[in-house]
Amino acid sequence: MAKFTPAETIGWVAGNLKTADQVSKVEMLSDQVLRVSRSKYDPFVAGIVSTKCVRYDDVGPLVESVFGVEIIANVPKESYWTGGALKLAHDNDIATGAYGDLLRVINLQDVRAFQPRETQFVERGLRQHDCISSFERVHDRLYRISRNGLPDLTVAMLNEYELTADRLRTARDRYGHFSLVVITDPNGGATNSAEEAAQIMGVEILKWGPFLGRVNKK
Amino acid sequence: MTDAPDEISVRAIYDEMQRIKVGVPSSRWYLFGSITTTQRPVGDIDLLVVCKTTADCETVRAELASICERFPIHLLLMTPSEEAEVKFIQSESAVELTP
Repeated sequence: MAKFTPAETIGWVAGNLKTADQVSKVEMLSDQVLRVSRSKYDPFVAGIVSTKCVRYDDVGPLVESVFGVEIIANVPKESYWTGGALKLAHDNDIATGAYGDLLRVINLQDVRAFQPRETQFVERGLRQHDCISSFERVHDRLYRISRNGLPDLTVAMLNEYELTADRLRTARDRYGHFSLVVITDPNGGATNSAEEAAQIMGVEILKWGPFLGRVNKK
Repeated sequence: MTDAPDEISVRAIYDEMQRIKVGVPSSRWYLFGSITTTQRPVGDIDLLVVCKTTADCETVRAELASICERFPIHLLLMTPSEEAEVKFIQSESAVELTP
């Protein structure tokens, strides 16, 4: 596979966005920035990154861009955002997401306010839990949860329909140590191989409901 | 074939499959989800590769790293026993890519 350039990736993203119903025009303002004109709302400005791991230094130039970036999207699905990159964007009132989220914000007036539905769901559940005193988003899917009178938990929130052994190992490679995996897809489950891999890693796999109960226990 | 973005990405996956199958000949490749429908634009490209062993899964993931940085590919790697357990190909109406 030949190495690709940022211009090729942003060209591919722009080409896709142009085919969306509510989009009237897509302009490439630089090799990492697009302006998307919409029929229903004002145009929005998107910063595009394409990396396996979005770090602080990837986000910095887009935060400082003269074009007024409102959302930063990372193209690869097989990727993750570090906590530092998320915080930098958040502190500058810039939304973050994946390529697919660019399609979602087309129909959103305030693009800066966008938050992926899954993140909203997870963080609302954590905020509303009686036993949780606070939580920190260490990386995009990794949370450190502080509990009243109980030790902290480090939890990977994986939105998997079928959690396979490979996905579990990939999460371990990305995030390092965690003691719990929560499958946030309401219809999701884990394969037997994933359960076996979890046992070897010393990790519990839970669905969302049982996880909320598990938070009350040591 | 056109230069439509979805076709560019599927063509690139097809080329990668042909390259990687030389080293992992028993792997079987499938597309599923919106890329197999007429819905456009697609939010991602769902790709399942069924590999005989865990080691083959690791090889395929490593070999696909570059294309996965270029396109929003949702890569699912399963061993045949995992696939048989959840009947993923059948339940998702996955479409096999043939060399």
